[in-house]
Amino acid sequence: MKNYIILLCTASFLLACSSPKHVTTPQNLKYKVNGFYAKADVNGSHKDVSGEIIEVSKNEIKLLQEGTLQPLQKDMIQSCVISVSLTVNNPKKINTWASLVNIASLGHGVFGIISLPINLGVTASITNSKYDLKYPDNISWDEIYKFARFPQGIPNDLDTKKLQ
Amino acid sequence: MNLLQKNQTISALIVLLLTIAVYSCRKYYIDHGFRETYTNVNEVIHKDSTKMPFFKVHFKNGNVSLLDTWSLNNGKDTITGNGTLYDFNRNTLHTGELHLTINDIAIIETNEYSKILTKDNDKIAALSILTGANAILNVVCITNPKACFGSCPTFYVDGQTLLHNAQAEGFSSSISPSLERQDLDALQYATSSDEFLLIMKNEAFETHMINELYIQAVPKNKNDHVFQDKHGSFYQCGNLLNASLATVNNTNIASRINTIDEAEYFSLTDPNKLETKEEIILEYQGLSTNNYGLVINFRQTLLTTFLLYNGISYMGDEVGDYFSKIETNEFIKQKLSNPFKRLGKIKLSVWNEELKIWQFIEELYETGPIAKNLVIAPLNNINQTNNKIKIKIEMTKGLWRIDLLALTTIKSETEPYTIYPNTLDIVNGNAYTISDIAKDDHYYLISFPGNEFRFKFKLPELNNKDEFELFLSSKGYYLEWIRKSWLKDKNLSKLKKMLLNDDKTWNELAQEFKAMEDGMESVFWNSKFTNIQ
Repeated sequence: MKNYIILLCTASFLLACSSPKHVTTPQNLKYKVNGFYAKADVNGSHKDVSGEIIEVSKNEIKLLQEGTLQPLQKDMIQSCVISVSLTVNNPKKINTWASLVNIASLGHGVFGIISLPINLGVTASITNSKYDLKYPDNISWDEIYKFARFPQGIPNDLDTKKLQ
Repeated sequence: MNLLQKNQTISALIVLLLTIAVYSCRKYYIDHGFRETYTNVNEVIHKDSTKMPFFKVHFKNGNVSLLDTWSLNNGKDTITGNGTLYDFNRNTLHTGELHLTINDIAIIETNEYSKILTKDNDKIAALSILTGANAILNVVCITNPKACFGSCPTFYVDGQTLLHNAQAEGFSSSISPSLERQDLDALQYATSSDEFLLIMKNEAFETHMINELYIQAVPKNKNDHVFQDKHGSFYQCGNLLNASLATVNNTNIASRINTIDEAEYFSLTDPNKLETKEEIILEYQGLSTNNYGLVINFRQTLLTTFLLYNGISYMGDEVGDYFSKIETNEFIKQKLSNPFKRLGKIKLSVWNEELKIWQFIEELYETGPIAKNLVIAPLNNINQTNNKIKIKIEMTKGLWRIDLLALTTIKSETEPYTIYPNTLDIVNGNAYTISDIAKDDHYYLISFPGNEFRFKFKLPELNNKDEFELFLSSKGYYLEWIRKSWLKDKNLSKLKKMLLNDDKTWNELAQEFKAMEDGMESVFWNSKFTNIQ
């Protein structure tokens, strides 16, 4: 059990130290020139498809996933979460603090059985929290294009293979 | 679902909760209206620039520029401003003054980031509260590590190794060689298997000296119970009968004491007098025979742990001398038990309707705050009136946690099988063999902090019975490790007064414990698995 707690603390430390990738802070949002990151729940697929929104047309969205453009038909998408920003401007400070709180459970001995899950539960809700948009709940298809890298659409003469 | 299964389920739920907690990210959905785009460039650039929120220009060729300031030239065909220009992969092309031709612009984007409120202050406030709570717990554990890190050899069955699931604590009051004693504990575990695994751990800063270890197995039918009394006699018993009335100072406590579960009855100490007593009054109805026993499942609060720690810390750097005296001086050895005598045992009495008096039955005592002790107190053909019986439990406030008080019919006294382990698996510890604990002799298995030993027992044939109810007998003593921080608390005068039952010293101890009681008792024992969520 002790090893299990140490493992969990280490895991929580590592997880707490890393903010969600591709998501910036509210104060840095104005410098963001890429498309927002989206995670789409695709019908009939066991895995979500995620990536930077490159372009949104009437019937299709294109996500850039590890250098590859993934076109997804509108009617294939059950839901889609678009990450806008973190909820805090100082994620590093808050995440480090949160991870130290989790490690404090090691000093609680048997009390750690109680304090660790409470700490993990609370710190998990504190760190990693972000502002999202969710299609179709609070954004319509016709509005998603605003959050693409190319809201005007991919330029005709652009070689999409060169997209990074 | 028995208690062990329930604990397993709860443990699984905790793991699930942890997994969810670790991987879950709190989501806040916001309105997308903070961003607007304009394809009609002329419409935007002719607006008052001071009213335009942050300005981003997307070009027909895929480039984009961020502008800090901007203005329109006289020919109204070029935007001039300061900012950065990026290519289609968002690599920086130019930073500084920019001249953007209107005809090259595809879309102008504005962003009102003031609509996205940061939650830094909320998060910091929540973390501050959490940090404060953790710090208090850390202080409690530093000042009283035994309360946090367990005590005495702890025994586990069925692969459980979580301290909350400890089925027994061995010889908790045997704190020196001369106080070595045998301890018999109900493991509250029945099995029909032909093999039984017992895990023994040292989870405290103590050296455990185990002289003898064996289990006593009593065959029984599935619907029956087997209980032991304080003298080590075993009884085959029938169903449990719950109290129709269970009160303390007219407060109903029936829900706390009617089943073996996580709910326990306990009270807090009197801040002025640690030995202040309280009474539980129980009434049982529907009795049909005279051969009943009161089954009680109980353990101590952390009060005795607190007193033991204080006593040892008052010895300071003379702790070795004092423990030598305990071994050689009968007077001092006797005095050592004074604090525990002062607090007293759990006293059981039955109401005699004919004589109109409370008739004393017996007193129960078991040291240790972790594992519960399940015992029966036979009522010895006590007279019942109108199929009813009234029982009084008298005990020191804040010293005991009572999980079960139920009546049962005693069918017969029974004999257990005594079974010694046939194999020993050393997970962590020195190379001992089962012969070291097979007899009450001068050979010991010595267990140090962090050690873990696994004993396997071969169980005999069940014959016509369904399963064995198992009990653990352990004999030995333990030596508390003295921490450096304790040495500064040396106070021989206070130790003497404590052992000689000086009222003023005990009053001070009552107040010292009161200051810690909430932190130690409420946080730990009141925190149920089911409350974690």
